[in-house]
Amino acid sequence: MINRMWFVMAVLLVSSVAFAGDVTGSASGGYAVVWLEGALPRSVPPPMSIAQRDVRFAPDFAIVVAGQRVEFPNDDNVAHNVYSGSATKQLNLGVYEKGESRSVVFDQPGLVQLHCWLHKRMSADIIVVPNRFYADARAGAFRIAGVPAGSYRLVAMRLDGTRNIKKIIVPATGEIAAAF
Amino acid sequence: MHKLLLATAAILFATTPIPTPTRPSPDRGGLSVAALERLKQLPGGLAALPAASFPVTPVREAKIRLGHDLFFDVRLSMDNSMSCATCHAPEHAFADGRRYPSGFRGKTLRRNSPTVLNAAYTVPQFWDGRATGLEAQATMPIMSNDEMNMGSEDLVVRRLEEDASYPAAFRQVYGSRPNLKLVGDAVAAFEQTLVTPDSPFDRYARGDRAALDDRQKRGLLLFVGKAACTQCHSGPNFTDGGFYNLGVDSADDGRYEVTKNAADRGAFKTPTLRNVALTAPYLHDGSMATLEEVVDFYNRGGGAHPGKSSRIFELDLTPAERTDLVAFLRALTGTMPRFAEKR
Repeated sequence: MINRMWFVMAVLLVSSVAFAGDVTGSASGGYAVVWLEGALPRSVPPPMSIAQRDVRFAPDFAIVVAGQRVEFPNDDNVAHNVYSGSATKQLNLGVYEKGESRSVVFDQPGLVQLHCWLHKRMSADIIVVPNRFYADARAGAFRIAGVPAGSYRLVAMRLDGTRNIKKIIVPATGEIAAAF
Repeated sequence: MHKLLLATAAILFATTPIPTPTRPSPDRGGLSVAALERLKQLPGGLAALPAASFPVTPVREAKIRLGHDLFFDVRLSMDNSMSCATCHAPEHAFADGRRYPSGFRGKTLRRNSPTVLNAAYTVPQFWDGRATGLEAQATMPIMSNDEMNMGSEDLVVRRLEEDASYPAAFRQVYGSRPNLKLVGDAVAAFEQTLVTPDSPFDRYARGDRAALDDRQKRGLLLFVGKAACTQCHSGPNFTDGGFYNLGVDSADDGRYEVTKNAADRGAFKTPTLRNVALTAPYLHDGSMATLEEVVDFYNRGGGAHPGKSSRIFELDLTPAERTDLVAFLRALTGTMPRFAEKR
């Protein structure tokens, strides 16, 4: 009896991993990122890097998972600063020179607009997403693969911070399409 | 089939635009003189001018003397009217103070005469970098038809052998008769002594915090930061030895003449900024008379000529910041080299 219960539980466990679908769709309204919100596993990717190079941020757009650390190395022969007054994350890393780096953990989902206090032409946009179930939507189409079956909020965000939300149910197999 | 099943579950719609503040004003802290003075080294590789590394041997002394005499000798021009010092005059900080130099028989040359001071610290020579090193550079104006116009090495040797002191000096230094290559070598040895240590900036970089005043220190902060000058004017001699197009309206192809690389069209060498207060007018075409004009030019993002480097952009400097930056540039004037002009 107990053996049979363990067997059932094991089957359920294995199948819950197997029951995963893809969320696909189009995002033609100038959206940059789509992500899912709901009961999803969390894992924080390793740190990423946004360099200061040729008096620009490189890259000048990044998607960061909540909890992930971002390094800001200065590769320029010029001192730079990194600051943001965005509601999602306010920061000011001070001014530092070539060869130095400072880093920040972004914990709140949302848009963060970075600037260099010294150089007006430098700006970068970071969109912080709550988990690794996201996709870059700048090209107009997206796919979030391997989403555990269940119901979620699908959030699409533009670089001006406006967002659009749809409720979706992800099937155990196959995919669900959504259009923004 | 079921793998490709398209779920048709109800999709609820919800649009919620949430405005986010865009460019807030940050804490003004960060870049301060105090922060700068805590750094172990200055940004952009700026540093005091390193000491010359040549051992002073009797032969080297003689070579420098010979180079000195050649540098000031008008016999190295076809019509005995020009020496190196005509366009690189000690009284003009080894430039000539004019927009364009006057060449053979008064011909107006097409590029501003650069200072020889501290040229030993930079490898490419001429505005277009067509010579590598002082030795190669030194003989080119002697032979150029538009400049000293000697025409042939034979004439150079004949002129030098007219004066008994030259064959003796060449024998002493090189164990040889004069030739053009040795002329370049000797002139280069003299030019290596034309260095200007101990500017207020050098004293500051070596740790004398009182060597720059507050305006100059603020100017230094701008130089390495907001004004981004050290993108190109980097290192102890304030040049990266690179070539850039500033958008100056000019028919001169600059570096392109040497490389035939389209990206180099209209690009000119980053000049040293040491002694820049003494070497007006500025830019390859001498088109700017004052440092204030030059700073204003960079502040508005350079000129409009095609091919401008992406390193040139609007700087957004306030009038007070522009004044501070010029004050710093004036702190780059060092101690002029001492030498006897005539033997």
